[in-house]
Amino acid sequence: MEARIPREPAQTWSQLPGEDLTTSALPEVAGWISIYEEMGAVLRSVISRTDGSADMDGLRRNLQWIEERLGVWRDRHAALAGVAIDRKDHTLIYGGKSLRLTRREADLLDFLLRHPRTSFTSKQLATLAWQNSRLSDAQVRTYIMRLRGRLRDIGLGESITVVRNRGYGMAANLGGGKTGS
Amino acid sequence: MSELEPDKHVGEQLVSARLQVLQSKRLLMASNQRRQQRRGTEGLAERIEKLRKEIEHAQLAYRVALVRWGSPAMSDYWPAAYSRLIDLADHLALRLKSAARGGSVSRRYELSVEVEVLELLIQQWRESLRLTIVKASA
Repeated sequence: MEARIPREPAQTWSQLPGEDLTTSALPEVAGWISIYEEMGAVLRSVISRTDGSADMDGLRRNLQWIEERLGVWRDRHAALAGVAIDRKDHTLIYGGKSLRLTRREADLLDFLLRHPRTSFTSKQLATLAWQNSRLSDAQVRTYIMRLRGRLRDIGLGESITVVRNRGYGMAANLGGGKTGS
Repeated sequence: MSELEPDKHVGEQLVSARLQVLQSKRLLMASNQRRQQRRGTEGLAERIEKLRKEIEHAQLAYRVALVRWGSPAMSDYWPAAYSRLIDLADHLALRLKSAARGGSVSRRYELSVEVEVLELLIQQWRESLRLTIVKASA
């Protein structure tokens, strides 16, 4: 009886847009994000150094599209990871559990989630995640360690990785117990 | 080469250092190829292959440095910038295509649209690359 049902099409059509967001795709999406980020960085660097060139408008449009896609994939990455951060009350929701974070912790986690597979130094994190370049390396380290400790309570303890001589980053497999690069 | 030069010169020095590495590897390659042609030495084939890979690495390192620290006034700047963009977009399109292969219809559709736009960008950047090369050699 079952043999009459074509397996492939049934599997394909039963899935609605967005339903195939399996966790196995998480490192894949993280990889795409890092390539998009690099393309965006090259374009921004080129645009910032040149003025008045005929190509500038085209390059700006290219950058705009890349940033749009980056936004989409970053959101998708967070959805795949099952992590949601409510920016209003700084609440993290993961695996049916919620955790109230401080504003700094929420900003830091949100920033790292949106830049998977990339390592950031303490200085970069202070400037990019908090727009506060006056924070010392030791202060950033304290925030990171405290956040890691709090994330451990909801099964995300290994999500923030410490990459020797490079800084801190977000693991490719959140909650999978494996560290990133 | 003053020790007290400002930071932007450090960047330019890095670019020129990487260019020198690339050029010296190319010279080594040319010399090895000449030796191989003259003597037909089999043993050189391995060395030439190794040098070819080293040249690829040096070329990439030079391009990355040029885009990061170079100036558009440098003759190689635009070809390096467009080549880097093309390489990245090519790599991404390839990865998206292979990811789309096993997915659902909706996923395949989404990724194929994305690949299509990337291929359009690659086409534009290739055309710009061609123009910058023509301009540089004119």
